[in-house]
Amino acid sequence: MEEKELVERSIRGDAEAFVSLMELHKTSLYRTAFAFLKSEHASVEAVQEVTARAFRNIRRLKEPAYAKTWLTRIMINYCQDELKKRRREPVTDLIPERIAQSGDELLMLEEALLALPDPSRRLIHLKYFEEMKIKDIAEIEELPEGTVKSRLHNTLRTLREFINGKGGRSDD
Amino acid sequence: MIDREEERLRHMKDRLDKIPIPEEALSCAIRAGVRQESQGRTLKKKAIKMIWPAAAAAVLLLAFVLSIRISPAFAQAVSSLPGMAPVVELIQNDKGMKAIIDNEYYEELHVTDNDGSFTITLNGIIADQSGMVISFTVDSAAGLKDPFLETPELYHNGQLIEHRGISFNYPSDDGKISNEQLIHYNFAEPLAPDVTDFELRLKLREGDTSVFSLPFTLKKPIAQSKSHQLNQTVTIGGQKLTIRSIDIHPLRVEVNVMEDPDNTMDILQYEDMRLESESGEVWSSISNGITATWEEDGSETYFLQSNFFTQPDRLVFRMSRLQALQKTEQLVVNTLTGKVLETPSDGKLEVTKLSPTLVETKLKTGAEFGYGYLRDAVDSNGKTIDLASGGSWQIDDYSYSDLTFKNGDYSNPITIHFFAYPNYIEGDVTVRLE
Repeated sequence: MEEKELVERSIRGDAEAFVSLMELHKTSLYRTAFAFLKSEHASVEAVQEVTARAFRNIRRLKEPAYAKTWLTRIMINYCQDELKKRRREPVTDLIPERIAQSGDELLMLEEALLALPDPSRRLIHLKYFEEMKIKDIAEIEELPEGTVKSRLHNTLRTLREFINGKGGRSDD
Repeated sequence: MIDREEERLRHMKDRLDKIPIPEEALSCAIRAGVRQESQGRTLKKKAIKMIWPAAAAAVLLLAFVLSIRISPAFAQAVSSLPGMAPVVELIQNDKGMKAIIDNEYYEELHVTDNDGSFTITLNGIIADQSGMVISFTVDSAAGLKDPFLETPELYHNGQLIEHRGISFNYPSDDGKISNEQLIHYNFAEPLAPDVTDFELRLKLREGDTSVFSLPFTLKKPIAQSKSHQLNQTVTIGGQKLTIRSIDIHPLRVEVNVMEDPDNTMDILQYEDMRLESESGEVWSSISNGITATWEEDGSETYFLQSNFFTQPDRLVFRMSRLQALQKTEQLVVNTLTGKVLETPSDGKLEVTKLSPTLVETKLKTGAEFGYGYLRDAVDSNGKTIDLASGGSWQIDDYSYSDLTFKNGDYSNPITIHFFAYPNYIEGDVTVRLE
């Protein structure tokens, strides 16, 4: 069955079609979750919660072609809420796994990403991890394209400052 | 150069692409997510939806507790009246409604409108000066899957009849072809006696939104309500309040109460507020749908089951057990940071969801509580926040209640007021109605 048909059936309340739709996107959604939550357990849980939320609101998905973008957006919202919750109630027995390895220059980048405000983090994620076009980012973030570009630029600069500041380097 | 950061980000993306994918765990999670939501839907179906009136001053609540017993034969007889089947459920919770049916104070109608896929038929109306109960049927050739009723509105001569709350059930989504439903419409101002022409406009959404218009004329006269001005101040549990008036309508009795501003506690619910006749017959609170409103002058109006059709010689108003909370006990949250700043000290309340437009909470109440317990919210400037809707439901020993705001246009932190809370004061108040 084509994705379009899966979406249409899902909207009509067909749970099996919806499961198939989620199967199509589960890998990508899991990676998105992992980029934010950095834990297999938390990311699997995220996929479950996002499945429930998406199934509840599937009727709001107006354009079947945007199913993946729509699901990604729900996932990012969920992850950012989760991170906020963690900050509120620190869980000591949960040591996040990392994408970076120890001694890795990416460690610093991970930290820098965590320090970004939510909207900036979303832009970076959509552009570099989801590899979305500026035009599409502008659409889901409801911002003019120029604003997306300039914010991305500024955020990259913030990342650089964070990394350089922390690492005490100024070689670039 | 920031190229370096871009390079690092791409490097990270490559790493991310290489993480192992727990395929099976994800498939299980997807199944579990769908199951979780399907169960959520079943729960939602039992809940009643309310629409808040435009005027921020009026507040309502839902309750779904007590039920009085009626004989199966009576239920059967009512069900056989055209369009009155949904009323049976109502009667079980309200003896005033039973009296309405006994006294044939309702009007049968047959008005329909259809948009090709759905037909809506008005079956019957119970109207008085305080409000209207409208029974209607939704028919669809294909069966209803997940219909959603949007704000039903009543018009007179093209003008919206202002309301202070509408409550209705979701049409059932069990795939039935025909579905009977009720709308309770509460008028903001008493209906003028000469108004007989109405138009009901409503939207039904199932995939697309269909708009319906149903004009109707009432032929039976609308009963004149009876008003008792009392202005009696009483004390209970050390708190003072004034019973200002009691108005008796066929659909309900309205008791208007003003709390003394110097009280140390906020009185929330008058659980056993009732009218009693000489012979000991009791008319208690309405326990289903909208059961109270908050007036602009700061007073509150509570609804009792109506004794309109049974007017004994001597009638007393009584109450002995009230829900009340110290004014210092508050729920304060910041919806921007997601922080819960203050909750009542008994630890029974938990905030479960928080966003600029939604506050959802969970309260340990026991299974019999049955009140939508959040009332409204004010922002840090003391401005009342515009509500879009509110709902409540019960799971085991916990009650849940949420408020949704029209927008995030207010300043944090916000204080949320309670409409009900499982904390009590007791005493005995008796006032005679002349």
